[in-house]
Amino acid sequence: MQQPLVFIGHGLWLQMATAIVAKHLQPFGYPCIAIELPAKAKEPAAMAGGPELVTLCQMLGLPLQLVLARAQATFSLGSQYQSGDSSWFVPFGHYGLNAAAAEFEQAILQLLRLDANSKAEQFCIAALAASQGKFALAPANRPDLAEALSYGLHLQTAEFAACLKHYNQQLGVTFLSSQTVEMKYSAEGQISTLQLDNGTALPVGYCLDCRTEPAADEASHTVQLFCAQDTTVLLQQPHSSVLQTSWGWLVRLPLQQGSHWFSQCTDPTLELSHFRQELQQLTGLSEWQHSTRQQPTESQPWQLNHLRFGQAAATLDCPLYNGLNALQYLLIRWLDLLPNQSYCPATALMYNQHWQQFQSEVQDFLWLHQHPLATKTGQAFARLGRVLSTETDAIKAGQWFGLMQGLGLKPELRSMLLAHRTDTEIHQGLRQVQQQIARLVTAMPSQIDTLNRCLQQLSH
Amino acid sequence: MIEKIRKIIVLGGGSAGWMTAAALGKVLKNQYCQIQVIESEQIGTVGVGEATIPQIMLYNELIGLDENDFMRRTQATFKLGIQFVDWQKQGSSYFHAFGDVGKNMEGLQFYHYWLRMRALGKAAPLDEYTLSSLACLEQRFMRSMDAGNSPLSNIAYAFHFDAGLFAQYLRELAEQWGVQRTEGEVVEVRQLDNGFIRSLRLADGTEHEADFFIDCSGFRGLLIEQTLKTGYEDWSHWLPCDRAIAVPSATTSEPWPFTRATAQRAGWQWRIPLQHRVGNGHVYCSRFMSEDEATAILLKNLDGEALAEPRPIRFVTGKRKQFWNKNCLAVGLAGGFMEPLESTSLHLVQATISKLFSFFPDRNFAQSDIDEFNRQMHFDYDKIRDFLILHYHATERNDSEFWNYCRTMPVPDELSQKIQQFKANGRIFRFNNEMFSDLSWFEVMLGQGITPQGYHPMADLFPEAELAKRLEGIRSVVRKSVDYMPSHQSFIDQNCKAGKIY
Ligand SMILES: Cc1cc2nc3c(=O)[nH]c(=O)nc-3n(C[C@H](O)[C@H](O)[C@H](O)COP(=O)(O)OP(=O)(O)OC[C@H]3O[C@@H](n4cnc5c(N)ncnc54)[C@H](O)[C@@H]3O)c2cc1C
Repeated sequence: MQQPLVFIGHGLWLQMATAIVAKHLQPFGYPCIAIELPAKAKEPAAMAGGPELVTLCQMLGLPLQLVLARAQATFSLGSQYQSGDSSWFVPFGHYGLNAAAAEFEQAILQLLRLDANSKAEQFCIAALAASQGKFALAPANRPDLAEALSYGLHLQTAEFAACLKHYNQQLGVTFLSSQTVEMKYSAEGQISTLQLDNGTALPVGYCLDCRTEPAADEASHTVQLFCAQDTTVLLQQPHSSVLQTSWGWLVRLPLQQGSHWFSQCTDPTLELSHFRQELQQLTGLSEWQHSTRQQPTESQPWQLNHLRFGQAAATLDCPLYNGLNALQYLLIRWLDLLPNQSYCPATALMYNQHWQQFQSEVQDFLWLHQHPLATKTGQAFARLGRVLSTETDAIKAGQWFGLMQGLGLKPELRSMLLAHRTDTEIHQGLRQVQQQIARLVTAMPSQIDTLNRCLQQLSH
Repeated sequence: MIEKIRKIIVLGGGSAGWMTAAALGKVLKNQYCQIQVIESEQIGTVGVGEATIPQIMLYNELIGLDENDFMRRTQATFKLGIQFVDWQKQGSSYFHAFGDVGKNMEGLQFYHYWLRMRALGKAAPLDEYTLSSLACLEQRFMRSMDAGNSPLSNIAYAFHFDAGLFAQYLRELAEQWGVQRTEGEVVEVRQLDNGFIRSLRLADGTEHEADFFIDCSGFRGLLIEQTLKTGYEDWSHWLPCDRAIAVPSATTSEPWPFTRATAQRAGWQWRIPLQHRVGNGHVYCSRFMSEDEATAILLKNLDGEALAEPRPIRFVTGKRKQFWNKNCLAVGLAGGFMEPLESTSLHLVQATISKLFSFFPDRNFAQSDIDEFNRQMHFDYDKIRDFLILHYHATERNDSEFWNYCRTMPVPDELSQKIQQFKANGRIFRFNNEMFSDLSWFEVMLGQGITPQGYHPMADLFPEAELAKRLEGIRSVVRKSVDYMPSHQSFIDQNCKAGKIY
């Protein structure tokens, strides 16, 4: 019998962590126990997960149709941004027909420089499909299209959590609930037992801690959250929407029966009335819920047998980036390393270093939204039109490119690798790709059709 | 305001100089700016650097090289990997082969399954599951063919070539693409008030101005170091070899499709088979061995008669503190040097060229671009360095002071973590952009005698009998595929046989 894996936390994050780990490790005889603690803050009603979430559902063997039905889910090809008069799309998939096509983005930038009427979205299958309300699951024999049409999901959080809890129960995970949990440590500093409010002391192999709140003595900052719900059905929008506000960004996630709005502000000096007024102007909605939370700012997720994944993922969690994506990364990476229980300090050290790299890439992406030219990534794009190479897959190449060109960063220098091609040659090449993309998108079904087909498959 | 580069001078006509000039010539077609190479025949080139790794294909593609023509012109042979002899201990040998090892199953790398079966004493040697290793052992070669799932569809290879002929070949191409060549020795470097390089004066009195200077002047780093005083990070405490003796020898057998690196008492010896000769060299540490002794060892271990006088080369392993400083970019030996144990130098030349295109400057030379360029180059160098140190450090050899030093020396933290991690559970941690894959790390760590105590638990998911059957299936597919391959010599004869030189 292996040492027990004990999960603590609440809501979707707890269920997700339990599902991923239990699915992979139960076959090896690891008992899995999930302790549900009371939530300190209410979980947002909806969430957007990237393509990782879809891969994860496949890995768990959770049928997509089931998730769509239970969690009122819709598809997301990326995010449609709006800032004043300008709008652009940030896709999960890549630009062009072939992800590896050399200098394709450079060619787009060259065209944009010369032709003010052209838009990068014309050369991106996901962006064009999203703008026409189209969505299709790529056929199995077209891995190229699967990449170009990489998609995520918008989901109802509580329903998805319930679906995963059911899944976990079926896997044989033991669920306990407690108001508090107290950690008892061994002389070596490892957690030896967890004490629940009813006095039970649970022995611990690894403690997978999905709680998001920082302890009182840990670095954090206060964020103000706003959310609202409306009943407008937006099935013709297989994407999230992101609007610029005077303090940051406002995100709208469309579900099958309405949509959810989220915004966040870290500036403590702004007046609540100011927010409400601007939010109402932008959305027409007057019912905004306001809350505050302490967001942790740093963490070393792997500490001996205490895996503080919730807190690590929470450092990144915000309306523009769902912390669940980070949580998944932390879990999958850990599973990939989980030794045959031989404890190796170097593993934890390297794991934490990799996490810091992942974290800094996501933070860079988020920071770009506020101050594009204050980041190295933004500066390099504004000079050279290139996305700096990244060491993890936290943010997809299409997302970096889509965001930076959308934010209006125009490279000063041209690609030297295209220097020997005339503008006409570049235009012709691009137009051909554009036509092929347009043809592909014309043949695609609408999101509504795809969704209906998936839901019908389930009812059969 | 964009201020276009009007002229680039490449100083040096060794492999680095001509690789850079040919790439610039091909891509810029002499229309964007003028490109000039200045080299001195009198000074000459280092004249070694004859083994490559598969990434060289990217360079060949960039300049649109005709592979068979290039092979004929440079007396080249194919390379499927490196054989390391006597590294773990005397009498040991392993291949660091290019390409796949076995076949991944259920999303898990093959080697975890292999480790499981090995622990049970039921796995054949790793080479028998690795197409390239087996082909090396049997001296076979072919290029990939369209064969579905067969390993024959995905054969990774590189080349061995004659460095002098390679530079000459690239020179011809570069000149066709409009690169100008000037023969002469640079005797003075003139700078602007801000320290940027303005011009180079040659021994014949002519002065050559440019906006951008690429320093390919070899170890001396005439521009990057002697002029700009950029500084050098010395790695000889980790990679202590500081001398080499090189000598060509006559061919006595069909060329092997691999490089051999044989560990010696205070260093190691390379053997690189070409069509017309064999390149040999002994890399050693002068703290532990004299030049005479090193030369004697080299000559004693040649297969055929020596075709020239042994040539000594001195170096200090390390890298420049900045590869790009002001309007000067160091490429090749001018940028840094790590010994050729994994044939990485020409790869680094090519990596520098490829980054140069991504960060191609204008006359403003934005410091932020230069900083990012340097950051990426340091990353490449540092990761390769750790991989090379692994070969020296992870050894059981205790037969000389040199090996005792290497075995017990402190190594960079990241490397020791990688080793500990592998020992504990057979896992390999790496970032996306590291040059060596997890398979390379696996082959070398295992070959050097690091035995993992565990493997990925998912490898236990197959029942033992089922896994044994699958491994046997993979082994037999590899066996059949290698049987299908022609001999290396006959593949060369049919496709790219070079004319006789010696
Ligand atoms: C022992 C050894 C073995 C190696 N083996 C391999 C290997 O197997 N694989 C691999 O990838 N790499 C290997 N390398 C590295 C490889 O040889 C070099 O990276 C490659 O040859 C590039 O050298 P270079 O062009 O930078 O320098 P060099 O070949 O030294 O060229 C320098 C050039 O600068 C010119 N020059 C210098 N000063 C002046 C001046 N004042 N005026 C005018 N011209 C000047 C010279 O004339 C010459 O043309 C090896 C290196 C060594 C030392």
